[in-house]
Amino acid sequence: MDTPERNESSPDFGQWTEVCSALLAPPADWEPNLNAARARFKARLHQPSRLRRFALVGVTGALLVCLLVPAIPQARVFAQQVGSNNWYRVERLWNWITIVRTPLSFRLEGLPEALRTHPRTESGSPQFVSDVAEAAHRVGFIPRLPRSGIFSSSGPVLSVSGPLSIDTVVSTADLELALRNAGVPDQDVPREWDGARISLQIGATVTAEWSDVREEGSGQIEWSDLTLAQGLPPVVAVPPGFDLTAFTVLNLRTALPGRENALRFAQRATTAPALLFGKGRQNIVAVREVNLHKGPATLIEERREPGFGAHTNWFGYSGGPTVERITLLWSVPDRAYVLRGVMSVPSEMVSLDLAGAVTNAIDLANAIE
Amino acid sequence: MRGEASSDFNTLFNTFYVRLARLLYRITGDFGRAEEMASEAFWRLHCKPPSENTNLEGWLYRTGLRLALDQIKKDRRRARYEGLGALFGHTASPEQELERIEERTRVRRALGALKADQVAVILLRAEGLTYAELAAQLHLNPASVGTLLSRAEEAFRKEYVNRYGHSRTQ
Repeated sequence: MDTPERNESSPDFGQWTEVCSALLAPPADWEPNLNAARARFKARLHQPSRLRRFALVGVTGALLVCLLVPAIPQARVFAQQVGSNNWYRVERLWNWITIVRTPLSFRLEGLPEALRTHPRTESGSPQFVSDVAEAAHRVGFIPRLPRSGIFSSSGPVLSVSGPLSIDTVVSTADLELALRNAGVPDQDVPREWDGARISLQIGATVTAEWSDVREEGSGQIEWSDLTLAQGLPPVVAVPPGFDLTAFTVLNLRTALPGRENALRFAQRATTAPALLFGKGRQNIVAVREVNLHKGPATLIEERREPGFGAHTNWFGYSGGPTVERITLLWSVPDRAYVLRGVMSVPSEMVSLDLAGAVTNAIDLANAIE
Repeated sequence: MRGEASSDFNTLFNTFYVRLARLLYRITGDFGRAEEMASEAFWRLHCKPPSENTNLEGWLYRTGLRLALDQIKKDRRRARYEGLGALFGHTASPEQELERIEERTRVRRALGALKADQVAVILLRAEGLTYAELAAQLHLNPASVGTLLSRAEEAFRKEYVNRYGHSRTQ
């Protein structure tokens, strides 16, 4: 039966398709976990149906509305809404003045690839988990999420990733070249650094993803995607006697003017590894410092994909890059966080819209409990 | 599903879950998602079985593939920001591996633009099903399987070339 019955009017693409299909084949040693699938299926059978849950939430909500609305004068509700919007506007303006409008002292566009990184251990594909408890069980710490009510969205979708380790071997020649190209010729690169192996170790991480997020307070900011990753603070292992801070400063100086600026970011537990070891640096248009309730954080603005970075305005000249993604990196003693948002509508740099997005991102970070 | 039906369902699950998950991996490229979608296909079968209980395997393949193809469309948007790995903890890959990853993505995207039935016939064939088995699983006329496969392959090739021109997979 298995006869090659082909359409004679077209060339035989079978072989080509076979090559393509072979590319997609799963690894031979991967065996889907039938037992776990059966267990998940059984657990799902015993969950109340989504319709029932929605109905329950709906009834509860309606009951609360019936109880609360008559108790609150309409004028007060209105005043609260107006107040919330006004406060947002004040914050946005403040952030425009103090953060967004300030001269861009840091531009990582074209950061030289002075560090060539190699994965030592891979984290593997993210594994989706059903809830915070399962995530905590898998990674060994309890993930913290923004308090409810800060934004409206479905989700989050939670996943966990295994530990990851990345190595780099220092090449002083590469670093010297990068410094020269960046116009920093007066810096000596210690000879003894050459060949030193630096290892970045990242523990298990939990990632929460939300889609189509609307900020509750003003309702003015929308994120098409919002992602919060967290894990134990990353560890950078260096050979004995190696001055990691000095090394980081020199690397950052290839992109950031001023030793003081480079030093400030080099001392950040989360920011420095991300800038040094991270991929996709070519899309970064600005790195800034912002303050959260829990301490300083690094704000990274990324443009749209290359090719969409510049735009032409009404006057016919090309404007600056359009910021599409905002990332906040910060850490507390027991946790490192990365909050990344993709704006539904990209904003021009140095615009009030961008200030609004930054304000919202800071509010979200501050709302993590 | 109760009693005998439940027993049948369990047998079906035990027999086809692994095969379906491996098939869906070809579309998703992600172990977790492949398993998740295989489970979802079984869940849909459990909640709303087709009116005819014949050829449930074919029904599962088609449902699973549609879920996976929908996911590809969603992933296109997601790919714009590539998750957090781009800034934190994403490893640089050796060039060859990177090229393989990109090639897989191109192949998946081209497949994602085809009709679900065309994808099914291409991937099930790649999974080693004979023409007779393809006909049985997908409710096709055995005599026309070869033609349908040729057309699907041609459509796939055209889609790929339209999007990416010629490539190393040639």
